[in-house]
Amino acid sequence: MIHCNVISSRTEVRMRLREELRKDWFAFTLCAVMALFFAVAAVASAATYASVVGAHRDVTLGESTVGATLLENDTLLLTYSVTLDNPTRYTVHIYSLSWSVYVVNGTEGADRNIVLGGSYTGPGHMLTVDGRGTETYSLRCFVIAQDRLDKLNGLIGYGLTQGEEYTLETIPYTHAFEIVAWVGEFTHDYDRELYLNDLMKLDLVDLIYREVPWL
Amino acid sequence: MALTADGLKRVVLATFLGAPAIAFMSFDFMFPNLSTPSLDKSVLAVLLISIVTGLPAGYLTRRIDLALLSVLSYTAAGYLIGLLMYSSPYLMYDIEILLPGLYYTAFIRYTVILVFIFAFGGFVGAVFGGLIRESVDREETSLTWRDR
Repeated sequence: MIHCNVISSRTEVRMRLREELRKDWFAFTLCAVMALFFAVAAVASAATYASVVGAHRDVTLGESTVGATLLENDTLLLTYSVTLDNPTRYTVHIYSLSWSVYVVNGTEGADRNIVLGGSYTGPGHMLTVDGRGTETYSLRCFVIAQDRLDKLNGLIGYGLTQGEEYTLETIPYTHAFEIVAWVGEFTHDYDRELYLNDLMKLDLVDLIYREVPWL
Repeated sequence: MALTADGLKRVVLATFLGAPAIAFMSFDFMFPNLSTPSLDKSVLAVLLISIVTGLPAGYLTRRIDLALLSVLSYTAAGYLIGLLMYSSPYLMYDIEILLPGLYYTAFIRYTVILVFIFAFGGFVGAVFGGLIRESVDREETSLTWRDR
């Protein structure tokens, strides 16, 4: 009997896999736990990736509303309002928010645009939009500078010669609005692998481009 | 040596045990800011985990040729699963990849070097796994001898 056991061990008689698994259950359980750990981590990571890519599609700017009002003191008030809709579960951290309003008054050169105003909000303001939330941004600027109002009035005068009856409230103003934001709390400070930053970056642009018809 | 049905089962089992780790590490190397827990592109950590992943292959099969085959098998399977994970947004949502060639080339370009690390670590792990198996067998024999 002793002799048989020694011989069987030394010649490594193959046990069938199932018997071996039963015998070495602890080692195989360890292996299975390790495999399960990585499988769960892999599925969770892939699901996170899918939802972050989905955020690029789902986080959107709504329909914007613009306005131009001439106030009693001959100041021109230009307004812009837009809603950011964030249906994802991630908080959107706004890095920068910029808006500019101008009138396209030419095809080239330094005076191509009559710049009237705008707004910029940088990362220091810590603007956020919570997950499954919406945020409305209402921006406005007052055009007080006489030289700019003179330019607009000059454009109105030139419009009359072209058969266009504009007023300060009906001039085709161009509004350029842009939000750069980060999705969630994921790391995005890579210097070398810029695609990792791009993956987390949302660039939402709303451009209401209008130009006078005689251009 | 011939590949028996029992040997094939061992290779398949080793593939199931090893592929998830390879898939995770491939994906994690591509997106360290998304995956949990992240190895943060540490090649040393990848090598160490590859060695640990190779242990079952050597422990299970005993035959070195089957162990190496198991390593190659789970590396290939894991890498393909990693590629599938990389495609997950486009499989789950109705989003179209703009430049599929460029998209998949980026993954391969960033992670192909890992395949060699996976295989190398796996081979080392398989050898260690075989040594552990031998050690366990030897210990069992000595215990059996002492008991008798």
